[in-house]
Amino acid sequence: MSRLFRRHLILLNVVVVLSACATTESLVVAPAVTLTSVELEKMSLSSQTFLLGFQVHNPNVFPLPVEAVKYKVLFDGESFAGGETRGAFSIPGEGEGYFQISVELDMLNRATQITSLLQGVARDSVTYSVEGSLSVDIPFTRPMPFSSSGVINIQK
Amino acid sequence: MMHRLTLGCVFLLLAACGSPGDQDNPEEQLRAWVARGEVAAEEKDRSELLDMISVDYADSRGNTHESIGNILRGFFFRQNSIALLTSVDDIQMMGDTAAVVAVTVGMAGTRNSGIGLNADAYSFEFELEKRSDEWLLIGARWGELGGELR
Repeated sequence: MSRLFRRHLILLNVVVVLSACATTESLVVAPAVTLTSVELEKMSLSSQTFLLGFQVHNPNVFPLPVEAVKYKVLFDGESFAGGETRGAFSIPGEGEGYFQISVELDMLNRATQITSLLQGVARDSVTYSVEGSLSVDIPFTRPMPFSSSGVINIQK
Repeated sequence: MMHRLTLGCVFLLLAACGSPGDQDNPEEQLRAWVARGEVAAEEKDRSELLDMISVDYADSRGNTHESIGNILRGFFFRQNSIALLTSVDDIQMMGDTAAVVAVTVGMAGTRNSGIGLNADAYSFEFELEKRSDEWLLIGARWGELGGELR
């Protein structure tokens, strides 16, 4: 076993022991993420594509370089979309940032119920809840969870 | 009496000069630089850390001397105590005034509330330049331990 590898192993053991002693806490204050827009972008016979717009408020004094977003969106309590999207963007310190996620729904399996929900003649808004986590490119910072809920207008 | 006086003078001289052998050795200077950074971080001494970083600092992530200062302010404000575990893995000298130092850093930071502790390990590659007899950080790459550095 090389000296370097042994040293890393010892360091890692110490870190693991320290980790086991307490719960985790991020160094960075978690940003607030809200869903701000839902837009039906594209429709075909087999699928529909929605564009979800999110606003992020960064309460930290420094910018947050976001590497990945894990998300789950529910409309009227029904699961609408979820997944992980990777892409580098930065939210200014004590400022706002925006990002969009494109969601394609399979008409045969999932879209029908959602479509009827979103395209209901009598409704132009729907209750939503969103939860997930943001991974940032800052050392010693774990993915930061977020969740929010409210009412959103549907742009058809 | 004379013997004691001579011995006393030698000690004074050594104390005034420090340890010349170690101070002249660039590798020891770089290890001391890492140790100084560790102590400064643990004491949350932001200005000491910034003194170790060149005003011309730049990295591939777009960080500057100023932005690192802001990140440190946020870190130190949020963490009430920080414990670092550092291991100097490699030192590559490039002439007498430039070096790349590979360091593994583990951190355990606790908050006053007693509920928080953050423990992870990262690999860092520090690029240093010697200016006016002082090593200054001019760039850095890092990544999670075992992962890609950038």
